[in-house]
Amino acid sequence: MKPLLDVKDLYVNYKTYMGELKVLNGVNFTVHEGEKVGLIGESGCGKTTTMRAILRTLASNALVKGGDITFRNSEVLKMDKKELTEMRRKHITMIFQDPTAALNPVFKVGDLIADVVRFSSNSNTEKLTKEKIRTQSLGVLKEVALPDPERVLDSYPFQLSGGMRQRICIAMSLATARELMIADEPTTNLDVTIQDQVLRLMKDLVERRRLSIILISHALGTVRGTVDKVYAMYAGNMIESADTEELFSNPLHPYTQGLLKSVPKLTGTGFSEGITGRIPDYINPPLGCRFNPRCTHAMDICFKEKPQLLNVGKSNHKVACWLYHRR
Amino acid sequence: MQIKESIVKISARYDLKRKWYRFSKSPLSIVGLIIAVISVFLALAAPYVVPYPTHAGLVTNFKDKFLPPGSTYLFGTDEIGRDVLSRTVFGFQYSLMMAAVVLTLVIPPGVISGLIAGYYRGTWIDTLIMRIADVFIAVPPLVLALSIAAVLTPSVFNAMMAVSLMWWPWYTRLVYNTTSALRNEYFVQAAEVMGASPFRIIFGEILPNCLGPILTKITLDVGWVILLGSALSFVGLGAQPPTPDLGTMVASGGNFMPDAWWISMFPAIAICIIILGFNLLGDGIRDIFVEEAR
Amino acid sequence: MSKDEDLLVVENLTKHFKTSFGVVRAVDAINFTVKAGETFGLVGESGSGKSTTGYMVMGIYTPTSGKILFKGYDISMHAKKRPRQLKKDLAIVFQDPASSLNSTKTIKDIVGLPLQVHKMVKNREELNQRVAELLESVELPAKDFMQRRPRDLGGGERQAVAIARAIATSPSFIVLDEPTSALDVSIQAKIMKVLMRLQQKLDLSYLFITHDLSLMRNVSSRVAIMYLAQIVEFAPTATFFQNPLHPYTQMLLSSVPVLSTEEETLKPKGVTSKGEVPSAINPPRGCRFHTRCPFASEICKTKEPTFLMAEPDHYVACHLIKK
Repeated sequence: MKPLLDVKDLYVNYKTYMGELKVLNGVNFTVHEGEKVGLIGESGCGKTTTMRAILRTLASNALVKGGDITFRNSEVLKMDKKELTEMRRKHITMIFQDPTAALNPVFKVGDLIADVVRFSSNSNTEKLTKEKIRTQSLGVLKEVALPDPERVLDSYPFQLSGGMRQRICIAMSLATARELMIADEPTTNLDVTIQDQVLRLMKDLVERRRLSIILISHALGTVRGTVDKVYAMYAGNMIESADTEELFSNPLHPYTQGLLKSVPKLTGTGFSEGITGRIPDYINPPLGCRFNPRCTHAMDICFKEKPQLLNVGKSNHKVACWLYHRR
Repeated sequence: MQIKESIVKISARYDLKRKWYRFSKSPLSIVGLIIAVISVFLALAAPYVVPYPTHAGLVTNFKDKFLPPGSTYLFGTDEIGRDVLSRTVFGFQYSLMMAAVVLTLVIPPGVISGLIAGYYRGTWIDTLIMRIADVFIAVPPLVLALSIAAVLTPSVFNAMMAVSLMWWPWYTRLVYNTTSALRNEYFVQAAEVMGASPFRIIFGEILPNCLGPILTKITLDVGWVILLGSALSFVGLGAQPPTPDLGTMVASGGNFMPDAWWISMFPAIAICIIILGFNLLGDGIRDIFVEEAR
Repeated sequence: MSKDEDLLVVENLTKHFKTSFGVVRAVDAINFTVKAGETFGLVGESGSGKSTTGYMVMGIYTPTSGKILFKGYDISMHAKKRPRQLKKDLAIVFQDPASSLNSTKTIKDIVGLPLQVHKMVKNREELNQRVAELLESVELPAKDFMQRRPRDLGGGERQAVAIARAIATSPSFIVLDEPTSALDVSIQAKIMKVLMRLQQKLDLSYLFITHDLSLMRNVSSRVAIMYLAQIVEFAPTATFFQNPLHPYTQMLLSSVPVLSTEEETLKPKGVTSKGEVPSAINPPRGCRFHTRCPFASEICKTKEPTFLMAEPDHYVACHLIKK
């Protein structure tokens, strides 16, 4: 079955005053229809850059140096403006970390949703009246379990709480998304009890609508409860991917292992002292595997050649590490 | 070797490499910088680079009056036979001197009052300072400057005083806004809680963060002050003849338009170029500080 | 002060803010103590009043009523009225690494500021040396970092600098206001290691404010849970996690994202989170949690529960819990 989204060997650099930051170093990433995928990785590993590359909303100092992105069988990197707009309006949607920044504060929620409803419809086939838009907007708010949707439609974003704002962003994205939803740290700014509610809601909606979702987070636990498959990213590469339970109970890559050990356990058994070293300098990144300066298992080949993301044996568990793919 | 090391150290201390990168991204900023540097150079070196330095002063040369631009007098001569080119370059000197004096007088009181009003925001100190500043801002600049200059005897000095008097509160407002915004930042709280005195906090912690907007405003202001000064001279309230002030030259040359157009035109173009140059420079400086908050 | 003596005592501490929307009741008559050498965890979500409490201890806010006693002395006033010595003895590390450091200064200036304010060094060499020592003690190589600016540093490194600045005056008590909330998990682990090591080495007591219960489980000796300006439960850590009594605590625990099935079994079942935190201007009558509580009864809607000891050292404010 052909994947819905296929990112192959993506290389992206950023131009800065000190030189070029070689951030994405051959990213490989696949999402199938109806699949729920999690992307974990710490700040600076390139998660947001990858997502922006998919939507083609990279910053002006970014350069795509190589690779392909295929979405619904079209080459995203070669799309013209018309195709891009169509893709962003009707097929892919994105939810961001800060719902306050994502909602225009000078418009009422009703106006914001109305905009989205209007753009998502096929304007040649149905003429949308104000009535219809309002009904659709109310319907969309009810889907995200917002209490008192009538009042919410007439409120401004600042009058609502963080959790409610994020639900509105989710509602707005659901008004349009047909195939893929990208959620970039959607619950990081929310309280933990609200986080739980929003994640459950997202999971429920995604399953009901049969959407694919890419859930990005640096909080590992939030990803675990919501997705079926997880990719782990480090310094511009996908270094491991597996089914959720498999990844969290049996991490193979030394970085993933280090990461999981750092998480404080509710059982009180403590946590590790982190991973020695820091993320690499992207201007002069290490040759071979970018994790080699920090890796306790580094071998000669790790300094010379970059390992590929390959299956371990017959399982679905892929890892990019020379420990598992001897030459 | 030692010189290179110390340059590198200073560059690191003030982060010059990064600032230059941001500045030089826009070619127009470089153009502005070049114009500004040339203007300052001409202002400083005027007596030594012009063909007829004496024409800037009390000199008559009636045999050469009203000559159009030519090989002996590149910009032509005025009604007294004085070289327009030389006088225009000397005009740079007067204009930039006026800007320098006004801004030097205006910045310390403006910045300090803004810092204090912002730090003590919400108290009587804030109200006192900002309402006084409001009074001065409320009057249209040219009207205020004209009234003051008219009451006092017309001279360059009095024109500078008049402009200074209405200029300071803009700095107060600018710094007040920045200071109020920073007042509740964590690093200011940290300094207060550790026992730093208000003096140290205001001048040591808050002021360095205001330098960006202040520097931008200074470069943009050079143009505006020169324009205001030229306007005063144009109506006869600033520099008096035979002082080669650009505004005065435009005014007196106006009597001979359009036949001897060169007498007004070149000083007018000079005013435009200086203002344009400093404005572009100001934009460039603003670009440096815009991304600082990352 | 010897270990286990009460270093910090908070009595009926209250803070109300007057705003144009009404009076915001940020903290309402809370009581707790921090013993010498311990890490006391203050847990709550947004609007609980935990940060406001920390700020009152530091003197950033003046309490509306109630008392704060530190080493026996009444310190319930704003920092500017406090004696010099006290300001050296208490320090704070803020939540946001980006704005807690002055971006126009070098790391050396930032860490050196308290040393200069309190005249703890005689000349430039001594200042440089002392700053280098402080940076080394938070595991930042001094040579590389002294001349850098905050914007060149990652979040974890900035927090390390903030910690170095906090210990510069050799305090005995540090308020840690969500010091690792903004950091990635492996960096959080590093910073926590630094904090624990420093606590041992320098005999520090911590008021650790956070919303992360898993973190709290592993670092604090006693925990207090705050909800809407009040402390609803309070116990030694082990007791607390084995037997969480208050429904809000149970709701909080059941929402914690965990990574293993082993941890899942520890989470209380039957209390999933619902509802949102009510406004602090008009808190609900009676028990403030009744609007979201699955066990709310009539008495909960009208009468405020008292803080009672349910088992040794374990205090709860809930009508459902009998002694």
